[in-house]
Amino acid sequence: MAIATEPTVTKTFSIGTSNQQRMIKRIFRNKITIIATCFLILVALSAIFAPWIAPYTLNTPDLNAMLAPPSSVHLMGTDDVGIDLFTEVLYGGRISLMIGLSSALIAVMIGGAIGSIAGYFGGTVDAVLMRLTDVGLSVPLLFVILGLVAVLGPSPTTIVEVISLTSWMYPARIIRSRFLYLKSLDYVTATKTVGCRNGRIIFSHIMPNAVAPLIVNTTLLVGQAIVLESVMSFLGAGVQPPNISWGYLLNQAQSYLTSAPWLAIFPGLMIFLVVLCINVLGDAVRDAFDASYTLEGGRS
Amino acid sequence: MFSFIIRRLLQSIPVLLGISLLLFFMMHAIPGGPLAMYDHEPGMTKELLAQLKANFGLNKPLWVQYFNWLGGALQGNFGYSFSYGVPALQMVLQRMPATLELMLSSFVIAVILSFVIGVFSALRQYSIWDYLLTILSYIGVAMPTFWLGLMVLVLFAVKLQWFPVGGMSTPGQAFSLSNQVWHAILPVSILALYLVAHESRYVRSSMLEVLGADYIRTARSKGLFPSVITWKHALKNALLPVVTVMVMDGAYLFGGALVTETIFSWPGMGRLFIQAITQDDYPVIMVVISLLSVIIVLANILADVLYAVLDPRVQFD
Repeated sequence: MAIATEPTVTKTFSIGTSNQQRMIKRIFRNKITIIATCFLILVALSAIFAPWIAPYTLNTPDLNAMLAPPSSVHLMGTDDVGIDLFTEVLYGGRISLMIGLSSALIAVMIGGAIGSIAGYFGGTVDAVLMRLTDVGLSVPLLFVILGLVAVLGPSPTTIVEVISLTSWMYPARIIRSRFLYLKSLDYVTATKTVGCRNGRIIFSHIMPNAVAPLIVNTTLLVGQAIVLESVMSFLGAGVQPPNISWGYLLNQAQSYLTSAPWLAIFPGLMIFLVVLCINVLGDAVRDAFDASYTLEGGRS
Repeated sequence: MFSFIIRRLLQSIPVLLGISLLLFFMMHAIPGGPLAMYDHEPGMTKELLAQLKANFGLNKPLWVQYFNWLGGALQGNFGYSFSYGVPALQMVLQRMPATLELMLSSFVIAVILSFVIGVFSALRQYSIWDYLLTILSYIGVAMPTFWLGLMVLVLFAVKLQWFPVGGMSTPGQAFSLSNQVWHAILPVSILALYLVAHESRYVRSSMLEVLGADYIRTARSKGLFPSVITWKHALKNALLPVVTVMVMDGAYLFGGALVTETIFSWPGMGRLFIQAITQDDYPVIMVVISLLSVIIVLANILADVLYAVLDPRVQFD
């Protein structure tokens, strides 16, 4: 486990293929994982390059094609004022993916900081921080998120803040338990003996060995954050125009469920497929790490 | 066991205090403070506003305000709904039974189904059925509940008209159980779906672990009926780790109910909450979050106690 994430060690000890290469091979030994990853890359690229790919410019109504069903002209149909849904889905993906990725990353950073400090210092610090984590785990997540957004006002930044402030608890617990185990190992005692500062021990010596289980959790958090954002926007408490996200499109589609069901089908399908692929990828990464645990007997 | 429960209850006090601090912070982050709605009231003078502040104790130091609020909350006084002028707690409690009905029926159905599915696929590990159910559970976990709810609503309620589009019963009709059940089928199954997809995996892996144990092999070699081994010997032990997951999922159900109630116009607490959000009815928002937090904390204690009761190897220490 330690070797897989530390390139310098890898170079010295590997024979033939490196551990990182073996890890990547292990993640992608399954065809379904490859398909899922390709799909995610495709969605990410089409979101990034939306202005170039989109067949129409955003927010240009076509009054001759209002509520038009999917066709070769409008791949996913059009909405009540004739705006092309495919274009909207491409642009919506930018916000959905951005919010998903950034809130997951921030949540992991917060969780990583709290978990490592709690695990490394132990004692009162640990007790206080873990009670804080318990508080986070004991609140009704969706309700608190919606309440906070109602108070703070919805903007993409607020949404990211609120989601990340309510998702750091699991990463914190994971990192803490790794720190508890790792800090008792001889090499950490050795670094202490030679007079390393706490900060240096945490960041340079323990953290690299503790992050692996966190990677899996981050993957799953991205999916979770995308769903949370879409639920918020769907309930009308998330992204507001001029910003659009997949959840916002679903919110708008509610009024045309019977006359234009495609308005609801496609944005929802995107959320579903992206989350499905993220979960598949996350499981593959976890299995790969699990295999390396058993190979090296590192987890105890 | 009694002292164990007492200790767990005492341990939850700091957690509940933490939650109350969070809520208090939220109330004070409200733009303009709790009296913001009077800012643009015609005839509102500075003196009158100051008078109001003094009346509500808003001119006192923050920590005094916190303890005043906490004292009120402990006595069930969460203030009055901005929109309706009735006590916020009373409003929420009125809506609670509808939500609990929705949640409990989904929970019971989900638990039964996930046991059946989990045990079924564990007994047929790596068979075509096992793979099929695995794929289905992947789909169920990744499926955004609100989207599926919309799709199901359009298909079964609007297009096929097999089920009503919303509500708990047909308006104007006398109470009848069949009518209630008919209204509940769609929302309950949508809410149960995620739980089934999630929990059946736990049942399966827990069951597989137990089936590989020595005492099961002994039971087999004694010539016991396979059904007795599965349902009596194995399931009992496989149940243990699953109980915790299920109680935790119970907390998730509140969030799921929020979404399901909105889609199927179920007159429960979740819809009241969404309404409060759109109307900036902060006291109602606070009551809902406080109430649910207490329920979740109690549910966690229940999970611990249940675990200890079910597994004699766990000591109450």
